[in-house]
Parts: sequence; structure tokens; C-alpha cells
Amino acid sequence: MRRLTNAEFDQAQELARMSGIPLDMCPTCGSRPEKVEMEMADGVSSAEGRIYGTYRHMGEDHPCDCEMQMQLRKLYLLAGIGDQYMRLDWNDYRNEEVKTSVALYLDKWSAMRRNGMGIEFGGEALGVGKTFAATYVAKELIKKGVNVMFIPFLEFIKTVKLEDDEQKRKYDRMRKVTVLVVDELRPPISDAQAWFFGEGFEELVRHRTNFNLPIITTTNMTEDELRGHYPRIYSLMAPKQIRLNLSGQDARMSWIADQNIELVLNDEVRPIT
Amino acid sequence: MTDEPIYELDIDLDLIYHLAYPDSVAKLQQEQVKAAVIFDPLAKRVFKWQMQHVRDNGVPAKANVLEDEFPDIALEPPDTQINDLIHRLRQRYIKSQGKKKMQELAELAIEEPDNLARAMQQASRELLDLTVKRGEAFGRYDFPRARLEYDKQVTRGKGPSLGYDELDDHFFGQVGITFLVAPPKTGKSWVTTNAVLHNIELENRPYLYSLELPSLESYWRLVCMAADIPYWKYLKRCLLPNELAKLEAAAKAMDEMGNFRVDKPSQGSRSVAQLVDRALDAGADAIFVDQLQYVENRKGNSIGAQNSTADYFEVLDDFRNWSDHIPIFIVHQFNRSVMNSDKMPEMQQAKGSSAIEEVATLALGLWANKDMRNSNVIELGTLASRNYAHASWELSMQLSRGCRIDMKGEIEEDEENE
Repeated sequence: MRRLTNAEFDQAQELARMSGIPLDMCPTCGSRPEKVEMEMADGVSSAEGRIYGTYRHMGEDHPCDCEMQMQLRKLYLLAGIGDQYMRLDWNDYRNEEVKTSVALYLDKWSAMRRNGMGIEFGGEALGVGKTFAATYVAKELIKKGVNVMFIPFLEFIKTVKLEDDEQKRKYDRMRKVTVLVVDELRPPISDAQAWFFGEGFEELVRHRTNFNLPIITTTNMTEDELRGHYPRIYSLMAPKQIRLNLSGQDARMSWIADQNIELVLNDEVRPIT
Repeated sequence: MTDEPIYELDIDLDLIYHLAYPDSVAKLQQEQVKAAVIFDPLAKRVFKWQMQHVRDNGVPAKANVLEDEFPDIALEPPDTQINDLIHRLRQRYIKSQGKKKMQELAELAIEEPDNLARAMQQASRELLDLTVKRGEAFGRYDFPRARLEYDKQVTRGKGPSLGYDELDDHFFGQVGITFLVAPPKTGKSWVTTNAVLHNIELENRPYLYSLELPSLESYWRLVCMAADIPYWKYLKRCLLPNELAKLEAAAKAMDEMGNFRVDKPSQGSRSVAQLVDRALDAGADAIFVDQLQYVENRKGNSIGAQNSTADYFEVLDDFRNWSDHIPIFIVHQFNRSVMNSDKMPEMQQAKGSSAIEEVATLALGLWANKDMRNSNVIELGTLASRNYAHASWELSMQLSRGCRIDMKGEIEEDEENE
């Protein structure tokens, strides 16, 4: 896994602080660093240690790999992956067809990267696991040391609209990051909005496709709808994306909801995967 | 038995025979053999004539030319090997002229004691000039000698360890002068301790000059690391009986592995020549100097206190000359410009960097940014290497619970880090 630059580390630290769990606290078992004062010949310096804890999941206690949990969280936070998706386990994903395609994509990552190939997770139904699958791909790529950024489409629009330094930095990162995941690409509600969305997004997509930088998207729109609403963008993206259609029942409403209740009642936690 | 020698070698005559062979002439030139070490007038004349021939024509005269020029000689194959002959000529000179010089000096000490020091200096310069082996040079006809050296190195194998098998495989161990450069409090001394320990484990004979820390502290660091007992427990004097027993067992195991020494010479005894001499006298096969700034120049001042580029050049030039005899590992610091660095600093950011760049066979940097410090890891990577490609490794450093600096692996060239 890659090491963060000082600026990235500061950003991750800020995000962690905002979430209420500081970066040096294990997000799964809650262990905190213990300070050990070391009197060195040239002064006193402190070293950090930690008592590794345990966490309970699916009725069993597990020893916690705090270092790995913290490391993954730091990288996921920086990539913009929310806590919920950090903890979803791919073993719980039910769509075998998608799983096979995703496994192939990850297996062939170097070739995909060279050719700038991304994935489009499509499916009209809600809660079928499009974001789950996209964040899984993002997480696996992060583990391979790839620089990934996850951004909901609405947040992207906000970034394009506003012009403060922070938004500019964010937009610049969207252009440069190796893999950009855009979640919930949605239809415009008016022609004016279509033009506005399209304009901002096209510039980004054109740059990324020119430089073979993969884009992963999730959307409820069909291919025809995409082509209809965003013809220019779609003609750029379509040759650079593998489209996977997802269908099935709403996982968010069914088994994930049940699991969440169980976790709370049993004082359990899903580890970050 | 008879006291008569069965065979007596005439080295002057043998020199004449050698002068008919181009590779022998080349060796005599390389070693800067002077006519003064030749006693026989004819041999001296042939030698001078042949050397002049090389100066005038670029090549030595052939055997038939020599015989034409000097009708008194009849050339035959020499009895000695040329290196051996040069050694014998010099030995003979020391035994005769050296002894004579000593007698003259002794008389001078009685008659004109005020002039003794200058005369001794002059005599020693002359003696050095005529009898000391010169630096190695290779050129025409030298492949067999170069091949011999290669074969010797093959037999010898890798140089002393740099602390980790991964580094030793990449750089083929220590050769010449290795620098470990790092910002303050990054773990330079610990990484050096690890390298010393790894050499002990490989049954090498490292000699650590602990010029910054007391040698007792450095020794305890070494033992704590060998036993993987936190060093702070030693510092806080809170070692438990079982930990002391473990330390004792580790120390015993180290003693059995080979000879090593941790030394902090007193001030005034830290010149390069003194440091290397002491280590060589102790039979060391690798020298570790922690740190460069405490080494003294020829005037006896530590170069850190002087902080002049000329001093760095002087000391490092001396180290370079000695490093032909024994590999030297020198710990050094980056200057203050690296404090907010976001990546491994450049070679130019080391104190006295121009001198280091020139003499270093290998310069390794040790560094950690905020993320790495937070994750208790440090990067050990190439700053400059004369012979090998640049590479970096990640080390895990957890000194509160144990005392090991573990190798986590090589850092892949990462296109993702923008």
C-alpha cells in the first residue's frame, strides 16, 4: 500500500478527526496508542505502543489487526470511501456474475490500467449493490497501491459549480488521480441542467480518457438513457468501460438491514476490509 | 649440511632480464621504482636507458635492441616474478640504506639535536618515496592480473553486511565507503546497530566507533537488539530477571559468533588514520563510524565543530584511501533543509555533501514523513550509488515493545505517488 504525502496525511487526519475517531485510534476495536517515555542519551523521546484489542463479529471474538485497520481506514478516508462501504465484506455480495467480472477486472488490472479501462455498474433497481461493487473495486485497487478517488456525482457537480481553492484542488485531483469512481450518475431534470452537467463532466472525462485514466461509474440509467442525456460524454466513456448490469432485490432493504440490526443488538462490529 | 648457499639470486641481474619484458617494465613504472634502489651500475644504466626509451617512444625497447645497446649483457628468462623482484629491491634498500640513515640520525641526535626533527622528516620522506608500495594501476597486458583479482573477490564473496539480506543482495554487501545519511532522531544509530549485529551474526568482525553515544550505551543497544528486549528498560533500569537472563544469553551467543568491538576513543585520538589503525589492529573486517561530524581532522579538531567543506574533503579523502583496505560505513546527517520534506531528501541536502558525493561508493538515506512516522515505519533508500540501480526499502521500527528493526520489503517504484 502506498504511503501518503504530508499533505495527504494532514487531510486524512482532518477527516478522521471530523468523523470522531482519530487516526491513531483503531476504528474496529478502539485501541489507543500508549505512550512510552524513552530516555535516550541525547534527550527524552517518546515511542508509541498499543495493546491490540479484539472485536466481535458474527457471534465470534476476533483478534484485531489494528495496524492494518488503521492503515486501510486512512487510505479509504482519503479516497472518499464512507465508513459503511469500508466495512462491507465482498463475501456477502450475492451476485456471482458480477463477482466473476470484477475478479477478472482486478486480475487484469495492469492491462486495464494501461488501456484506461474502467467499469460501469448499471442497473435500474435501487440497492442492488452497484456502489458496493464499485467501492469494492476501489478498495482492492487501493490495497494494490493505486491512487483512487471516490466521489458521488452530486458532489462532483458542487465541485464544478464552486470556484474556491478547495474545490479547485479537488477538481485537480479528479483529473489526475489514477482511478476515479463517480457514484450515482443521474439524469438531468432540464435541458439547462443537462448542458451544465455535461459541460463540466465532459471536460473531466475527455482529459481522463485522453490519458487512459480509468473511470468507474455507477448509475440507475440504461445505456439508451445515458446516450440520450449525455451523448458526448457517453461516446467518450463507452469504449473505455466494461458495462455490468446488476439486478436483483434491494440488498439495503433486506439482508444488510437485518445484519445491521443484529450487529447493534449483539454489540458487534464489521471489520474494515 | 653445508653453510654454502645452494643458489644465490642476483636481483640486479634479474632486473636486467625483466627489463626486456614489456609487462615487467609497465609494472616497474606503475610502482614508480627509482634507480636509487638498484645498486649494480650496469643494471642501473640499463634501467635508466629503458625508462627513457619508454618516455621517448611510448613502448619499451625489445630484447634484441637492449642487447645491441648493451653488448655486456646476455638476456635470459628472469628467475623472479616482477612483483617479488620489486619487493626484494626495496627490502635490500631498506636493509642497507635505511640502516645507514638510522646511524646518521643517531649521530645527528648527539651532535646536532636541533636539526634532528627536520632530518628525520626528510629521511622518512626519502624512504617512503623509494620503498612504499604504490597504488594499483591497470592497463596494457594487465588482464591476467585483473582476472586474478576478480577470482580472489569471487572467493571472498559479498562484502560485510549492510544490515539486511535484501540490501546485501542488491549492493553485494559493503564495498569502499558507505554513508547512512538521515535527519536527526530518525534512528540512524539503531539502523547502524542493526548492521553491526547482522555482521556479528554472519561471523564478520565489525568495529563500531560510537563517537556520539558512550560505548557502554552502544554496547547495550547491541545486546538489547540481539535479545529483542526494549532498550528503554535498560535505560530505566527496570530489566526483569528473565530479561536479564535473555540478554546474557544473547551476549554469550554474540561472543561465540565472532569478534566485535564498540569503541569510543578519547578526543584527540579520532583522526581517520587512528580510527582505521585501531580497527585493523583489532582484526576488524568492517568499520562503522557513528558519526562523521565527530571525526577529527589532521589538526585534531572535530569536523562538525569546524563545519568547513575543506575539512570534510580532508577527512573523507583519508577515509577513501583507507577504504581500499577495509570497507567503512559512516553515519551522517542531513542539513536543516529537510525538516519539512515530503519525500526522501536529495544527496545534496547532506552536510558537506559535495565531499560525500565524490567519495561515496554508496550513500543510503533514512527518512520518514508524517504518515510513515504515524505507522512506525522508515524508508531506507539509495541517495547515490556508484555501481547499482537506486532502490528503497521500508523498515518497521517499534522500539517500545521490542528492539528490532524489521525489513518490510522493497518499495516498488510507484507511479501512483504524484
